[in-house]
Parts: sequence; structure tokens; C-alpha cells
Amino acid sequence: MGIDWERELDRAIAPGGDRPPSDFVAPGRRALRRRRTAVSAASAAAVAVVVGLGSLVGGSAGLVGEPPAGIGVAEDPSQGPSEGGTVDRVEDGPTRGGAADLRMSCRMWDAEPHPARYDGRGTLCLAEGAEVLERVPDPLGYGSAGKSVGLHLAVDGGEQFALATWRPDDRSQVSDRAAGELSDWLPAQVAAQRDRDVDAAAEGWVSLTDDGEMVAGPGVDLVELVEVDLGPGFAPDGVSSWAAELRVDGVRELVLLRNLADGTEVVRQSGDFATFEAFVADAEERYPEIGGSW
Amino acid sequence: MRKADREAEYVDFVAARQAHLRRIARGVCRDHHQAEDVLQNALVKLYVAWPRVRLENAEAYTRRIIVRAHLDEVRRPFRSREVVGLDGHDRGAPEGASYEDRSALTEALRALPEMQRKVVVLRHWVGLSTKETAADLGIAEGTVKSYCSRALTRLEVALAATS
Repeated sequence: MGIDWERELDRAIAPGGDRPPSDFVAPGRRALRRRRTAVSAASAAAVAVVVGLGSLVGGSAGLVGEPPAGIGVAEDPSQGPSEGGTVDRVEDGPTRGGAADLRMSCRMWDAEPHPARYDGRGTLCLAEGAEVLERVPDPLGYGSAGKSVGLHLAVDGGEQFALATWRPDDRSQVSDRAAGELSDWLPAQVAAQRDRDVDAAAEGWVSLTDDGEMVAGPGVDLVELVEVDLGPGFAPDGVSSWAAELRVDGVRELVLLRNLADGTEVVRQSGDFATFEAFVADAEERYPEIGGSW
Repeated sequence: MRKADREAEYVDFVAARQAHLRRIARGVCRDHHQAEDVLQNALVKLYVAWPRVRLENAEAYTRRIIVRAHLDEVRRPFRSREVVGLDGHDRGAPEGASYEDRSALTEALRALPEMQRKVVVLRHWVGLSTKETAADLGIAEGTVKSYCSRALTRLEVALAATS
């Protein structure tokens, strides 16, 4: 007889006590205020806010990721903060200088579960002793909007695949024991990361009706819309995708859209583009043709 | 709808569905602290999006944020390892499940790769179809089936070891 997985999992997944809804309402109000503040500013000012936030996250202000004093911090005090958060030490040649040099300009904790990550300023950090065997630059295709790197590393006597990403207000890292080729492992991770990049706040800005018409949500003006083919890295065969310029509460937003079974997914884009055409051209160039599962 | 009414609707939803959403978060996360972070983040995002999210879609919307969360984001690098049952919230195993059974399957679930864990929780605990699971996770249906098969094989081994 087969295993009743629902029953077994119901036993395995522990229930937890409820918290009062006010625990979520108060931070929700703060988040809403932050969002309104951001969207009510002029575009240039909004960009500055995002950059400022990026410098706070994991940066010297230490709001996120500041390790307690004296615990496993590998940082060269002679290195000042990197201007604009755009220093990528891998560009200096990991195969030349080795991982130890990379660590000198960023923070890596002893308890770090992943062998590679970006710090809050966008500096790539590798675990101590890690050797880069293979590197795929910017597999997410962030371009000037952020950083990403796929790595095949030799570390701690074994080999690992890793993907690290950084954007001004967001970063993530994932790793796995290396098995097979990095080129086989990476596409699924890139696809998963792209989905994580979806900004929940942007959901509902635009949606496709059953009649095939793209309509804007409340407070949103659809300024430009063009169907694009960004390859399987953005949308699998049969899934249509668009680039759009919107005005959300009066602020210009550039988005990419894909029409999934359960609705239109809005992927907010950052970057400064003088024209909508320049944005589309950049997106078509940035999203590489990647195979594997989307 | 007035702001006060919207907020009251949100509060009602959180009160009614928080426990279920927390269990989804606990199912897809490696530890309960991470699950609390993910749930908190999801419900805050839901609050922001509430004017645009219809009540009937709120649960699916929140679930999607939970399962697409940055589980590998390093927010608490020195977070201590969780000790099951000591966080003041666990009610203990349901009647009929021995501690060993539950612990073994719980550990096996946590040991699964992230996407396999998410797939098995969505398919076999939440009860989504393959298509719905694929849509929630943004992966192909074939990938869901593949992850699910591999995950269940590992979980079966864990269960067999306790019997």
C-alpha cells in the first residue's frame, strides 16, 4: 500500500502558535509608507533612495549582516568602502590572486553556509581557500542594474557550484555540491532567481484580460507596450512576454511582463534609460538564451 | 473601500489563515526562525498589496511569496540552530506519530534540496496539482514531477529507517 504523504507530512510539519495580526499590520504600514515615499519622489530622487538603501543593507551602517565583533570577520581595514557599490573583485582575476585576496575587501563569516556571496556594497566574497575553477559572468543579465555570477569552486576539499546575485536593495546566494557541469546546474538556478526577482509590490500593475488586452491597474497608466522575445531564460515556449513603460502614481516604471497560467507576472526593472526603445534593446541583449528548465 | 475597512479585512484574513500559512513556511524552510522571517515578509507584502489583491486570491498570493522567498538570503548569519519544541510555539506531534517518526521525516524534509522540499510540500501537503505547483514555483511541470519523484524517494528511505 502506498504511503499517505499528506498524513505523514502533516505529522512532520509542526504547527505553530498564532501571532496577533497587529504584528504584521504595523510593519505593513511602515512598508506602505516607504513605498509611497519612494513613488512620490521624482525619478532621479527615487534612484538615489534605492542606491542609499543598497548601501545600508549589509553595508557599513550594519543594519543587515553586520557580524558581531570578533567573530570570523576577514576584512582588510585598509580597504575603504567601495564607491557606488560596484567593485567586483573577481574582475581582478580570481585565478591570479586566489580567493584569499577576494576576501580582503569584504566580510565572510565562519558560519557562512555558501562559498560565495556579494556583500552589501556589491563586492564578491569567497570562502577562505576557495579556488575558482569556472566562472560565468552575469548569468542573470542584470547589466548595470546589478551583479550576478555563476561559479564552480574548489573549497574544503570538495567542489561546489554557486550562484550569487546583488542588486542595490537585494542580494541572494545559492550553492550546491558540484555534480556534472556548471552549465547544466546554472540555468535552473538562474530561472529560479529570476522568479524571486519578481517584485510583489508590482503585481497587479498590469494584467492581460481574457480578451488578450493588456490593461493597467488602479493608479497605473500604460505608456508604452511592446511584445518581446527574450528567449527561454525569461519565458518558455508558448508564454508571451512584453516590455512596458508605466506611470505608477506618476512615477515612471519600466517592467517586463510574462503571461503565466495564473496571471500576468510583472518583473520590475531598474536602470536609467533615456527612451523606452533603449530599455527594450537592453533587455533583449541582457536576457541570454539559456537552456534547461525555465 | 475605506482604509479602515481594508485593514479590517486584512486582519480577518491573517487571523483566519495565519496558522496554515505558517505551516507552509515551516514546510518549505529549513528551520522555524527562517520560516517566521519568510512568513513575516510575505504578510507585510500582502498588506502593501492588499488593495490590489482580491480576498479570494489572498492566500494563493501569500503562499506564492512564501515559496518564492529568498531562502538562502543571509539575514541572520549567526542564528543558532533550531531545537524543535523549545521555541514556545510547538504543540508537539499529533496523536499517533511517535517522536522518532516525526523527527526522522522532519529531518529528511529539511535535508531535501530547497526546490524538492517546496515541490513536495505544495504537491503532497497543500494539495496543489502538478500544474498549480509549477505555476507557484515558476518551473516546468516536468521539473515538478522530477523533483517530486526524487524527494519522495528520499523521504521513503527516511520513513523506512524508522519502521
